[in-house]
Amino acid sequence: MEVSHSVKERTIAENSLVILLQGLRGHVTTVDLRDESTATGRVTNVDAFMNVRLAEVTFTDRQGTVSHLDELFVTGRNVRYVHIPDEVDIRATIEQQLQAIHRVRYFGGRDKGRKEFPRAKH
Amino acid sequence: MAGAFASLRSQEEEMTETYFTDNENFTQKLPETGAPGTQTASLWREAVTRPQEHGRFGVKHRPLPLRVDNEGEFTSGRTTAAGGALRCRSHSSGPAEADDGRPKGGNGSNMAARLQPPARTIEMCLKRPGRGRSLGAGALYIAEGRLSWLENSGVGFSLDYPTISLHAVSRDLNAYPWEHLYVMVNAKFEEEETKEAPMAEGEEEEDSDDDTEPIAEFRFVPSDKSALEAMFSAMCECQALHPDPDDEDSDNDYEGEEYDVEAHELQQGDIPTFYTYEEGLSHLTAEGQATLERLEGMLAQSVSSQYNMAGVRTEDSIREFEDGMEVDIAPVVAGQFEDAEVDH
Repeated sequence: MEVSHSVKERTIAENSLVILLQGLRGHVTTVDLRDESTATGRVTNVDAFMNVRLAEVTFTDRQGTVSHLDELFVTGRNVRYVHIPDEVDIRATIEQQLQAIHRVRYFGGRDKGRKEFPRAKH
Repeated sequence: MAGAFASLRSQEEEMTETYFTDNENFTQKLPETGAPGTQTASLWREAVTRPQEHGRFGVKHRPLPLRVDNEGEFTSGRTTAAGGALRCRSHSSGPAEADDGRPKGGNGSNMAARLQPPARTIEMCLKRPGRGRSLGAGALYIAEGRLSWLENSGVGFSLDYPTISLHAVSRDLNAYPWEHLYVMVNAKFEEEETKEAPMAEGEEEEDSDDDTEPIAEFRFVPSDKSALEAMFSAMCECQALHPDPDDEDSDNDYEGEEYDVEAHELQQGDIPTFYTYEEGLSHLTAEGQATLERLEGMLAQSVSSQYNMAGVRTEDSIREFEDGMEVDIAPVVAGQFEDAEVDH
């Protein structure tokens, strides 16, 4: 399970529901855009700013014209809805994503490696 | 090219279309110091692989001053040649700024510096089937600061990433005859005139803006289809560098508080952010409890002395506020201040 390489993005994701969208990687779903166009495709990546990258996309623009795009990148600002596929277990997905983040954060064990957060002073 | 842009207003139905074709003979020559020189400039490919070495054009919608000579080469310089040179507000200032590809407010473009000879030149041609407007051959620069397009003839424009709504790779030849990079921009596309040939905006078309935002669409057709992947990825990365400043999610400011990693490792589970009184008391060592009692005593004394000053000291009031958990700072007697001399 891929986790962002950025501490900032991990922290943002951990504290918002975008972490659910990140768990949709590999699933085919529909993204409704702010300008009322829609894009249906396989989720390649979602970052902490809700920028969505899709592959094999059927794009319906706001006039209704359908086109096919190999890859599509939508800025988070322009996302209105992301449909969650029926086969996705929302709670499990969120938990898996959190586990992945924690695995990265605590990699190397207690006294090794650079800590994501400073240790509490005693 | 008299050095003037034609103006263009794109509506939502109108598409501005550009495409690349290959032109082996095309090279750009840009000076290092502002004088016409012989340094070759890299094109988008270099921008993709080494984005930090590319700056951006000084001002949106303004080109660098360029001159096209007969061999198809153009040089850039602060010249005012009548043959189509265009004014630019800011200009490349030389190698000193080469390494800093970060956007600076209003500084000169770094395009001239640190540009490598291109592996393959790319020419962008402009076509206008239907409503799309062709822009001509040129080069696409995908830089960290902004996306820039420079036509052979010298016109060009820049797009800031926050204005770009989405971009995509289209290989559907039924929809469009060439594989291309599609970019949708959240703004109107208007070209500006130059000082040499000021005129009223040319093709001023009926602007029937919707209630929704204006949209401009661009299609960049490279000569080499395999370049599309790299172009797309480069744009994705550059977009990620420009998160939405209007995002109201306050959690984005989350810096990360101190977290007791050691306690977590010792399987103490979630560290609660607060205890109830009983829980807290039970966690205290003997020394801790003694400290707690001492502090509570101090609080009780300070509270009772307040009531002394106010002159209202009864047995009831002492007991009532003795545990020190509540400290009533407001004066008991209205109008009475803490440091006032009490004389009751």
